[in-house]
Parts: sequence; C-alpha cells; structure tokens
Amino acid sequence: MNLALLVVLAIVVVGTIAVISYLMDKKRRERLMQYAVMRGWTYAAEDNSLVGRWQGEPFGRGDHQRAQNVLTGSESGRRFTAFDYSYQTHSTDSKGNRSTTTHHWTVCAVPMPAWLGVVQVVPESVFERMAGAVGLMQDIDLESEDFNRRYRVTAGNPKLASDLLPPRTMEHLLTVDVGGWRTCGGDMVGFREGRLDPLELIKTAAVLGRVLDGVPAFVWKDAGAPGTEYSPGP
Amino acid sequence: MTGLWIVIGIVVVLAIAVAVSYNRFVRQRNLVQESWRQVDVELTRRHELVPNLVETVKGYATHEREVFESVTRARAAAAAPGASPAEQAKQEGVLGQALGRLFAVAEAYPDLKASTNFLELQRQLTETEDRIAAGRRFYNANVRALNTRVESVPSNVIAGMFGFHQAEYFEVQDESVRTAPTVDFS
Repeated sequence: MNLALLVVLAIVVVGTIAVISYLMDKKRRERLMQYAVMRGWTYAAEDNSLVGRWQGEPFGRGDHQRAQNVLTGSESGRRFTAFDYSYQTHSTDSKGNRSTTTHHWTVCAVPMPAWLGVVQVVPESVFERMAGAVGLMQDIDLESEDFNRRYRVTAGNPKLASDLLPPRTMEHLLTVDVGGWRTCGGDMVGFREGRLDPLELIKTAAVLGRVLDGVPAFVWKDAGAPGTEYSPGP
Repeated sequence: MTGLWIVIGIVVVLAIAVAVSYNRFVRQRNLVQESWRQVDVELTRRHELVPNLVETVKGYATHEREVFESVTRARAAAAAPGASPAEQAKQEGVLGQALGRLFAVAEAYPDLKASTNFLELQRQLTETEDRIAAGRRFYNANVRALNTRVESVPSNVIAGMFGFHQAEYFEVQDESVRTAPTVDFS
C-alpha cells in the first residue's frame, strides 16, 4: 500500500469523524432547543460572559473556556442558568508531542437571596478522605458520619457550612447524586463532569433549591437579604 | 553510617508528625472555644428577652405570680456566669420548661395573644432559639471532632503528652428548648 493511499485514507477517516461529531452536536443542540421550548426556558448557543462569572472548580482552568448550550428558565418556582462548560489543557510527552484535552462540565446556577461566603460540597474521593483524616486537607466534619464519608465540605467560615447543612439537608443529599456544588457570590452553583442533560439539570436545580430552602432564615437575615425573612420556593 | 541516617530520618519524620498533630489539636481546641462563645452570645440574647416577655405577660395576666417567679428564677440561674456547657444545658432546660408554662398562660388571654409587643418578643425569641440550635450543632460537631482525636490512636498519645482533654457537649435534654416555642394564635 503506497503512502498516498494511506494519507487519503487518514483524511477520509478524520473527515468522517469530524462530520459525525458535527452532526451529533447539531442534533444535540436541536434536542436541547426543543426541550427548552417545551419547558418554557430560553436557549442560547453560546454565552461566554458566563465563563468568568464564578470562581473555583471547574472555572479558571486551562484555556479556550467556553459556555455553550445555555439554558435559562425556572423550575419549581426557582430561576436557574445551566450550560455546557468546556476548557482545554495541554501536555507534552517525552518525545515532544503536544496533545490537547478538552474537558466537559455541566454547570447549573441558582440565585440565592443574598451573597454568602464560599462553602463547597463535593463528593469525596478515597485519597481526599485519607488526607482529610490526617489534617492535610480541609474537610469540615458534621454530625452525620455517612455524609462526612460521602462529601468533602470546605468553607472559609466553618459555621456557615454548618448552617447551610442542617440534618434534613444532609439526609436529602445522601439520597441524590448531583455532583458538587458551591455558594459563589449570589449564586449556588452545581457542577459535574459531563455534558448537559435536561433531566439531570431539572434534578440538580431541585436539589440546589432544596438546600436553599433548608437554610435557616437568620442566615439570610445576617447576609442582608431583602425582607426580614427568606421565602422558600413553592 | 546508613543506619544513623535512617534513625535521624525517623526522628525528623516523628517530630514533624508530632508538630502537625499538636497544631491540629490547638486549632480544634480554639474552634471549640470559639463556637461555645457563639452559643453563649445567643444564650445571653435569650436571657435578655425573658424579662421583657415576663413584663409583657404580667400586663395582661396579673394573677399568675407563681409562673412569673419560676421564669425569673430559672432565668437568673441560667444567666449566672461560669457554668460549664453541661451545667448550662441543664439550666437552659429548666428555663425552657418555665417559658413553656408562661406561653401556656398566654394562651388564656386573647388580648395578650394579639399584642404587637408580645408577638414581636415571641418572634425574636423564636429567631434566637434557631440561632442557639444552629450554634449548638456547630459546637457539638467541633467537640465530637476534638474528642475523637483525644481518644484515637496515635493522637491520644499527643493529647496525653500536652494535656489536651475532651470537651463537654452542650446537650439540651428538654424538648421545649430543642425547638422554638410555638403558640397557637388561631
């Protein structure tokens, strides 16, 4: 087989993969758009103003950060913004070959009644559990051992983390799988690896809403929320 | 010579481990003390609300002297300084029971139940109870973390060497002070 034929074959394979990938992305976008219309949400193909809106995982990593397939709307009386977030990282092997990896995340942000300090709750890996146990990594322990084993809680103010996670909220978080979430400025931001799935999005928005509903009224009052008490969603 | 280096290495690693463990104990002890101070601030706020509440109820229910006196006594005992968390919890339980009787008295006086002053005091008391409950949770979580390390191997060795002791939990036994007092205004 001569070299020219190999090159042609390679071009055909790469081209086919590119076309299939494009068509799959197009189909997915159309499905998201249809779903948005059906639920009364709005859809935008891309809104990169969202890329720099929040700090912490998964934002601020790599380059070529993009916010695509942006869905905004309301679920169970609670507003949300959700989108596909991606960024690229690069590595070079020992032979000098540079490779690029695109990382895909799903982000869902729900506005809070007031700005709070940062509290982050993420599923805990075995390594993180061990590091937390010997004090090498912050992991705020609460009264539920099951919760402590499943999630790693970090916060600038541990009391705020405790206030945000009363027993009922912890119990609920043990029954669902929503990835990680963090209070970030005036929003509660849920994030997980993978691409946006509308059904997962509804579930995530509901869980974040439930966490917010469980926050004691005095937390919002101390944070200067408008009105004396926060009125939870229906 | 190699053996000596190994011994030196082990000693250095042990020294670092002891320092890390000691510093963590210090942080935990300070966190327990700080979280207790937060509870104490809210308890003080609760104690400050009680005289106003008694005076307001007195204005409507003049023949309930015994109830007023029991609340005043319980409040004075709970507000006395220097109590340990366990002692404080006991006094708060007594005060909670006395307040429960006071609210039961209020039930019999429709004018009192409609009083703006009384409603506002009740709202403030409810909010304070919420803050105490949240503070108690945080304090007890910190105590549990400290006590676990004081008892666990190998950190119990460091605790014994440097005099770190278990802290007392703040466990309120009386159900009426575990939750905010409620009055039926229907």
